[in-house]
Amino acid sequence: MTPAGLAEVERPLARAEAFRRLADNHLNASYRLARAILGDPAEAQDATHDAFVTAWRKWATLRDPALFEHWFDRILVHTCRNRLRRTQRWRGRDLAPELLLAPDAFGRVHDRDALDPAIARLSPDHQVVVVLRFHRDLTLNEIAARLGVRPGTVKSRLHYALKRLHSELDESDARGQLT
Amino acid sequence: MTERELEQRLTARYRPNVDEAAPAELRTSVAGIPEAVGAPGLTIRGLQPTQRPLAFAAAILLLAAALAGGIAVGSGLLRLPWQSSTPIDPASIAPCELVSGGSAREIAVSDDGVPAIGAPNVVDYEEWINREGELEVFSAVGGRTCFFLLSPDPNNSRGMDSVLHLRGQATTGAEASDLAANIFDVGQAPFDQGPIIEQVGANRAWVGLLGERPSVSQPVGGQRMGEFFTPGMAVAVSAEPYFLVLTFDMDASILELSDAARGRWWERYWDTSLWPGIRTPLEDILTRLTQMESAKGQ
Repeated sequence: MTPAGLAEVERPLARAEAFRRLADNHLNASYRLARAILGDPAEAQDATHDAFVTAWRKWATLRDPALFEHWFDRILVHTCRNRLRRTQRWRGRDLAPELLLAPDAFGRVHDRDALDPAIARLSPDHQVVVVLRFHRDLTLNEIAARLGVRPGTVKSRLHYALKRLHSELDESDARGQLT
Repeated sequence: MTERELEQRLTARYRPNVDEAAPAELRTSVAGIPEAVGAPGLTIRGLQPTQRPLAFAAAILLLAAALAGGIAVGSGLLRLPWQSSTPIDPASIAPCELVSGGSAREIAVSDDGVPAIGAPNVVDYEEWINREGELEVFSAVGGRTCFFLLSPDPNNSRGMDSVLHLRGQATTGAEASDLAANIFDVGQAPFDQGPIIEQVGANRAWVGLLGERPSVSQPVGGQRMGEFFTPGMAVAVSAEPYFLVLTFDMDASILELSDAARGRWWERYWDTSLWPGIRTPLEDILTRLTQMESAKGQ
């Protein structure tokens, strides 16, 4: 990082402007990632906003503006994953499984094929890995860096996620052929 | 369906998303975060009035952490390695060597299944080796909700919001070691707020907020169920070569706990209350935090 870049991050008066510029540059990609993980646009919007709030609060831990995307992705992914976990807990307690598969009040279409419900039934950790791999097209190492886990862990999660998706889709296809 | 077909299906699933732009209102609200939130690290005064009760709850948890730390360390419930009457043989601290040598991060386990590193002497605790090979000690001392994480490795990151919080600040093991040493030497714990340095017996402990979760809404059946705040906080006790941390976590999602540990937390503590009986001493902590921030601003 250049000395000028470092100074820009560290000067209190320049922090807000640096934050705004970086946030603006990365907003679309961040929102798309949240949308891919969470599905619901309103949820994605909330998560993206919350992640930027966290990023601002943790601004001092950003050592190099050039690493913003990587640094912020981690915040965003954690935010989304926590939302998935909470959502799954609530669903597990309060909603019957068949209701989860029904279109919601906002008219989202989850059931255009069997893939979306199958993804939604994965654990949050597995969902995140699938999105980072197939939406962001990241390598195992890149995913590991964003999640703060070892590449082997990512490989394992992806393996089991795909295995489960494979199994569910095969079952779904078989049911479709029967009907 | 082949593996290839599944991968193609997944790629196609996310393709329509690649050109989607963020809503204009999101762009506006994000641009306003610095003004709305205030300076990084100064959170209490920067909160909206409606959020202050939540910050109050966060501070209550902070106090709970302080109390637990004091009780656990001061009363002997939690016996730190260097309090032991038997000097620790540095050679016995195998995990440090394993990590510094670049080997897999796994806790050495003896033939009888006991981890080679000494777990804290805590009444009523259970242990897990999580999926990352790290030791977790989950305790229910006196009915309090706490996790004891024993990490002999300062580079033993537990995620972005981890207690040690080192991975985001250090890119090498050496850097992390230096950072941890700095924490021990000058009390610069990686807290967003504080730390308040407490003297607990002969030990130094730092108490501070690790970070405050942004407010989130809970969608249930298409309806949002309100906002809440999720703080993360800890008491860190220096006991080289260990860095023992007691953390309190409202929803157990901050720490990368194993499924088993998370499940236990959920089953035991979700519906219990931490607050009764500690509101009054909390005010003292809150006052001190406020004074600290005021002094900083002068």
